[in-house]
Amino acid sequence: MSTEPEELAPTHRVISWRSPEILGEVILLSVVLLLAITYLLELPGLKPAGRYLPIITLIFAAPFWLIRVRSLFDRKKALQAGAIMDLGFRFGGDAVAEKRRAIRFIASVAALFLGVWVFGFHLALPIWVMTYLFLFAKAKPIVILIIGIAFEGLLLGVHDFIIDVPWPEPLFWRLIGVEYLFNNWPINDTF
Amino acid sequence: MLEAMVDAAQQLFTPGPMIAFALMIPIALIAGLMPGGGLPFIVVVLSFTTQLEPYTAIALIIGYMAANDLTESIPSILLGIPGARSSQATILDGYPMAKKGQAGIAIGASYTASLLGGVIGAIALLAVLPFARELLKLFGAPEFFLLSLLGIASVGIISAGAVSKGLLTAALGLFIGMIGFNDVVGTTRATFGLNYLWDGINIIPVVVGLFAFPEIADLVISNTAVAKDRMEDMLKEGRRDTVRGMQEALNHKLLILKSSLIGVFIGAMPGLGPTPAHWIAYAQARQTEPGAKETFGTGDIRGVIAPESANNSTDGGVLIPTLLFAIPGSAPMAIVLGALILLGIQPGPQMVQDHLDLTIAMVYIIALANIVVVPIVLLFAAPLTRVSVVPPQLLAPVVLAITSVSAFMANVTIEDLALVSVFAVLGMFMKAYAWPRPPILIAIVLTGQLEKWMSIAIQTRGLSMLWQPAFVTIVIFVAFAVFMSLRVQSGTQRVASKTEEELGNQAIIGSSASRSKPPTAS
Repeated sequence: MSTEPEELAPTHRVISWRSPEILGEVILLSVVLLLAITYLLELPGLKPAGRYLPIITLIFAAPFWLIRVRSLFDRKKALQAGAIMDLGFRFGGDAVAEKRRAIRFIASVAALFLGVWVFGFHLALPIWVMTYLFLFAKAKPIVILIIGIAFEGLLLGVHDFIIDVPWPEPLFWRLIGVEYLFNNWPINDTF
Repeated sequence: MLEAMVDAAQQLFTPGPMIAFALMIPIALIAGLMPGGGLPFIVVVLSFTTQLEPYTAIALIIGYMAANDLTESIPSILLGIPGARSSQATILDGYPMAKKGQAGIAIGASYTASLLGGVIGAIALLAVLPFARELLKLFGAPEFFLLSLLGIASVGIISAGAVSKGLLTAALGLFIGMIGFNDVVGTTRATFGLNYLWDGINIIPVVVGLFAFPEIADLVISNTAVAKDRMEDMLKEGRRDTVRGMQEALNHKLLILKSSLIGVFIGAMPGLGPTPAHWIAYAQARQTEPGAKETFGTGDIRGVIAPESANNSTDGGVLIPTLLFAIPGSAPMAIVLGALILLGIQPGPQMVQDHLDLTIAMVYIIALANIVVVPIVLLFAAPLTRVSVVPPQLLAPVVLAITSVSAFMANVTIEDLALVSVFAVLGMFMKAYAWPRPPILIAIVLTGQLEKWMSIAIQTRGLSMLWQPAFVTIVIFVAFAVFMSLRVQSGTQRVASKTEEELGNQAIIGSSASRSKPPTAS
């Protein structure tokens, strides 16, 4: 039996101030603080029944917010696995490629939402899907076309024909002074 | 009770709910094969749920939940990739069996255990209902208020590695849940002058941002790919001997029963869900089954049967706190709660009093999903497995586009997408750094009910409610449940790492599981 003292495994790691973990935690704590201040300022103007829950939540949140702020300044993070209802990201070995894919994902989501706001779902969604499939999935042209048509079909068939969604006017259509075509889709009047 | 059972059957087994159930099955099965357990797709189901009548919506959403779990073990056995965290233990023996050419036996055994586990879970839920109804009759507004508050807090405590993280996110959920006009207290709060926030925060954009987008991001960023040649070999093996596997599973009825009861019990504990259940079932089988210590991890069929029975029986168990106390046992159950509220049904103590028929309909759907879906999965295991290896870059834009439209359908305004963006940023950070997301969703869902009960309690009893025996009993009970859940949680982490350590990770070598970086907590 070995008599050498066992080396204790580290239980914590210290993270850099420039770590995205710190940035994310600052954002999260700021959101909580913003909401807490908002409720605090609104309290005097609220009806009595409307004050109870904000007060309870403020009292409940304050100590944990302070604990997290303190832990933020310590920058010490435990190494053990924690959350059991969550999976976490499955990071692999190629950090550079993962970073590139992460940036690509965020940029493409931003492009989709911007496209929807400017041109509307009917134009932006199928075009975005097809572009993504062409650029990043390197899918075959026929697959890209089928998926694009399927999305247009979903919007026209389910959302326009069955549900008759009142689409908001996209920016581009407002700027050119033309009513969004798909809000007066003749198929709805026909049936 | 009997009357409600008949009523539920008459309402449920009609064309509307059954067609919805049948249409949902392929979506649920395919979604279950995706990393993250198919959470992104639930939003699509949820966005349609609001347009439907309650029985059809329940057939969709509960059927989705039950069927979704069933495909998780296919990639675990055939490819050594866990579909979700609740099928990790299955890899330890399922994948070595596949490597030995016994994939079909493992699949047959896994689905028989799943089927029986699912049915046992449903029966357990049904058995608890009459007792719960009588118990809940003793409760009034103060007790219901306390249950809701402690429910949110307990999920916050249990679901995070760090208590402060869990409780702070629960508080954040309450802050968000209070936004907008509340008709019970007759006041408008924290709208920041935006008309959009007047109606409060709709849960669909929250679910999309907080859960669906981070899961899709995970799919894209990790870009998990599996060698196709290996997959084809495994699929050939998987088609053989499934009947033999089913017979083998039936030879271990007692193990199935024991593991299923573990699943029900763990599932019923607030905030735990199927992950600890399947690990504990695996560990207890390894400890108690003859010769298991030597054979587990090398391809022992009992190592597949135990976790799969427990995994599926939690569906029934987890609905016990979800429906009776509005304390969901998992993130998907928080979404079920949200769906019920969108339908105008308040989960929690009122559920079994006012909507017993709907509660029983959920039991029927869980049982039906297992009975109907298991043979389908056994028949179509090969094409389903192929879905799990569709390149993420091909799958991601399709899922992203569908979920974006679903989020927009919440209020049909462009602001819904802005809200999705806000919660997506929050969700990505929380997923990356082990901040628990379920407490936010649960708190948002429960805020309305919490405030209603609190308002009534304060008006009728004032501060004297704090000394009522039922009130004190609930505090003790919840404290005990949280204590037990924390013990189970830490025990599960110990069991999982110890088991993997003892087995030398031999079962998951080469799988994506070995690439997983555990979330950190502080």
